[in-house]
Amino acid sequence: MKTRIQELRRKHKLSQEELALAVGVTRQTIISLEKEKYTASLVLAYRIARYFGLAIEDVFDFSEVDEEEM
Amino acid sequence: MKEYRKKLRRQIKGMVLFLVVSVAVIVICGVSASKLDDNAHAASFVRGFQAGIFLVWAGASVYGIVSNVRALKDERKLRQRYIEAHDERAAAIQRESGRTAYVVGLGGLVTAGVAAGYFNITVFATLVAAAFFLAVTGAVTYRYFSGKM
Repeated sequence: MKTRIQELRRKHKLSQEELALAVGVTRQTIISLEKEKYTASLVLAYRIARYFGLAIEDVFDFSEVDEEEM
Repeated sequence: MKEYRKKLRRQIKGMVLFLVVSVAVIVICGVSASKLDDNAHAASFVRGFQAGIFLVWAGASVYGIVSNVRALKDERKLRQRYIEAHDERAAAIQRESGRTAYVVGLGGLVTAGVAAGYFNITVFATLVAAAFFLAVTGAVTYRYFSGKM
């Protein structure tokens, strides 16, 4: 899933380690999220969005989910 | 974090107990191996293997005890350990690898059992029993976790 994590992190001058510690995951998880190799759980997405003071959909791109046929 | 501290303390107690048992088994293996006559190579090998396994477990217990005690004394290390233990990506990797290992392991046991059936009935029965045990364990744990979620 596409995210704005890297962009927001750079904007706030945060390292991956600092963001990881703040939201309670390992640095590897942040790296995977930024590389779009891993999709965050709802709780982690909420924590990251809240950390940046944004809504979940402002950080995570749900357009692929919207396009998926059920 | 308070609950995690308790968990680490419980783990230390468990590992101390395991360490004591491991050392006892190593001593027993050593004593029983020394009583074997010179011709009992296979039995001696088995005793050595058993002692080796428990030696590794004892070493792992010592490492675990030291690691937990250090974490309990250092708040930063404790937080780091907590994060590593609760990291959702690591949990997802474990789930995926566990599922794959289960399927591959079960398939491997059944295949090996079928192959062994042409040569040795004891090996065949052991492998099929192991595969059956693994399948039943998988079914029981699936049912257990289905009820919890």
